[in-house]
Amino acid sequence: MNQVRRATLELLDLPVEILVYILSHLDGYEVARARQVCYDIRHMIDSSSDLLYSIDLKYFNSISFPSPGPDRTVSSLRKSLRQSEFAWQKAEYFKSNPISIPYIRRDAFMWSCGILAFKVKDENRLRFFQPQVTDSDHSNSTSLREWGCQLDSEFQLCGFSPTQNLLIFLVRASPGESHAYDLVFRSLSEPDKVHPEAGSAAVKTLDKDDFELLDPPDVSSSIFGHYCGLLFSDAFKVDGVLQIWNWKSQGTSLCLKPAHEMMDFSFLTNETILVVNSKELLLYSLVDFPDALHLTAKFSLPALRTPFEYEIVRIKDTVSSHSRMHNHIITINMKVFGEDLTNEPCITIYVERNTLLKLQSTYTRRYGKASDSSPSLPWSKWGLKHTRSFRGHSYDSCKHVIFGLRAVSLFGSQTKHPVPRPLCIRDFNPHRVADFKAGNGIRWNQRLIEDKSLSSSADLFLEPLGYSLPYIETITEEKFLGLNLIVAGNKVMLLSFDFVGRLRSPAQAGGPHFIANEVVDQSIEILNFE
Amino acid sequence: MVHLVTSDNVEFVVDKEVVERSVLIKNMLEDVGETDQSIPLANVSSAVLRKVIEYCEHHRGEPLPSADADQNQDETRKRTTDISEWDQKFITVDQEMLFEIILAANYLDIKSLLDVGCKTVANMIKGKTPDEIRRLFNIVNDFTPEEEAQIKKENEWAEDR
Repeated sequence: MNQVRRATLELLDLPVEILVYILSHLDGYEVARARQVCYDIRHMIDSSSDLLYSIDLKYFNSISFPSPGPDRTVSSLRKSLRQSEFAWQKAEYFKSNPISIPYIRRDAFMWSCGILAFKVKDENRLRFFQPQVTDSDHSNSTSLREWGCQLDSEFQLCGFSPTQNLLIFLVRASPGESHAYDLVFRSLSEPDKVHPEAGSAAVKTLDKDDFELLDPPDVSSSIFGHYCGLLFSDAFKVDGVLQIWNWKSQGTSLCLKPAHEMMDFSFLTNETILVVNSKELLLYSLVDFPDALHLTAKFSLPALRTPFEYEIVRIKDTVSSHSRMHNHIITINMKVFGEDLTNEPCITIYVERNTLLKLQSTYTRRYGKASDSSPSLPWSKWGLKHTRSFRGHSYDSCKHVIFGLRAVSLFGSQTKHPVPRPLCIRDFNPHRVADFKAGNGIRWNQRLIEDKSLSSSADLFLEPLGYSLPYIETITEEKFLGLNLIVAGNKVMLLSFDFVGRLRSPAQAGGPHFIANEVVDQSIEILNFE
Repeated sequence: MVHLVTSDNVEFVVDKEVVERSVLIKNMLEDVGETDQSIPLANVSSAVLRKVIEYCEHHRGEPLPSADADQNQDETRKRTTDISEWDQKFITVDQEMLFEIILAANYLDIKSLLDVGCKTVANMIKGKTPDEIRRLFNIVNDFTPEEEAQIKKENEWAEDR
């Protein structure tokens, strides 16, 4: 640029509204940087709700989404985003009245995105419950939405997605057919009806031959936009079948039967699928769907000492946070099995979704195009640097519940009888961590954890586990009783069951008069971080 | 044909269709009806108007963005990479001319040209450190060292990514 000649008209001579308009084309990071240039620009940014909101969205790793309500100006959106983030930081919540859910004898239940689904025992019936905070103006009133459906034949509940209003379940195909199941696409809000956008009411899935190999197959499912996937696997890990449909168009599907086992899968983006097995994580690209699914990278899990092995590996990924976040945490839960183990060690690995996506190119640089026979990127080359691990004695459904970059757990280990435990909130947002380290803002009761907090796992593992992702931790004073926990946006929902023993003699909970498993009541408690 | 007179007293005779890309002129013409009288543009010099007319000539016949569409395209509007090749070439001018074009587009109310100008400036800012931005635009750092240290600390989170 011409630095010698002084222009008579300069950037800062432009009217403020034009300068603000120019800056509005930048992302939050760039705006934050521009704020450091001079007084005038800083003042301009600090006086514009739009620009401040764009900074906040990046800082809190959020995406602007319209909320219902009359006052939805940028400044009110910004205010509610900040209020909610501060509520999480301070662990300051308000409780809605607990909602009691009628007790149902059930074969299966599923709890996701604030909706509780029960398959009624010995009946072909589904029941749904959705607790609602009726008035968000800090009043405690709640209500329970309740609906259900009766089906003609035996079925297996697979999953549902409130964002797509989709409910999927499997029905056994008639004996003469060459496939084992029909996958049915229903409307979640009106489960008696076929989903209005579904390409067809039901699709055929799983060859009879594969079915016999896998019988009885474990089924895991995932719904992401117009994609719906089912993974059939079995306990012996010999084989697995992954089938993916574009459920909105008729007859568009793809079936993957790789040479390796598959234990679980999840959609990372609308172009990428993550598959796990007892050795590695695998990424597949959907760009050529429905013609092909390309393997793009393989990452090893930490190697176990003999005679241990991974018995179960599961991905816990909240698809509902995809639409609101630029990035989010994915957790891999691994149950270790071995002869001499007195407990069932569970290791949970945290990794950022965007890290996995970026590691694809690391893989390609090292090994070229991935194929079934190509090697995996060793754990020491990625896991140490990009993950954080937690270890538990047994699987606990109240731990490592993720929404975006935040994880919520009930603190401490679960005992045989439920005991009240405090809520532990861990914020992995790297911007928050950097800001906290720089000493900005108020520290409330938070602490930063950035070093090795996991006691040695050398008893199980040949390689050290990852402790790289730093986080900020807050623990509530209040303790909660819960058997299951979910996070939906700014709400933590705890599902708890009341037991006969505990009800009759609460003082002796866990004492000799405790009668386990006689559930008389179940309720949902909602903590609002708003 | 429409007669326009610039701040330095140069008269331009332009096709009505071309000049009506300016919402300001379009509204003026609608108000006064057919006229041979020239329209004075006191805020625009001939050098700048020549560029503006070049732009309008090139984009002749393209639909004008409606106010409605603007609301919905809030997100796409902010994508800065989508400047067409011709526009990019057109806007490759020195800084002063760039700012003059932005001012003229704002005054004449030519939304698409204002966007091209503002996106170009935004692209110049992108990826630069505060100091590089200062040097590029001749801006004096008027923070005290203490203030600068403070503001740097506040923005540490945005640096390392």
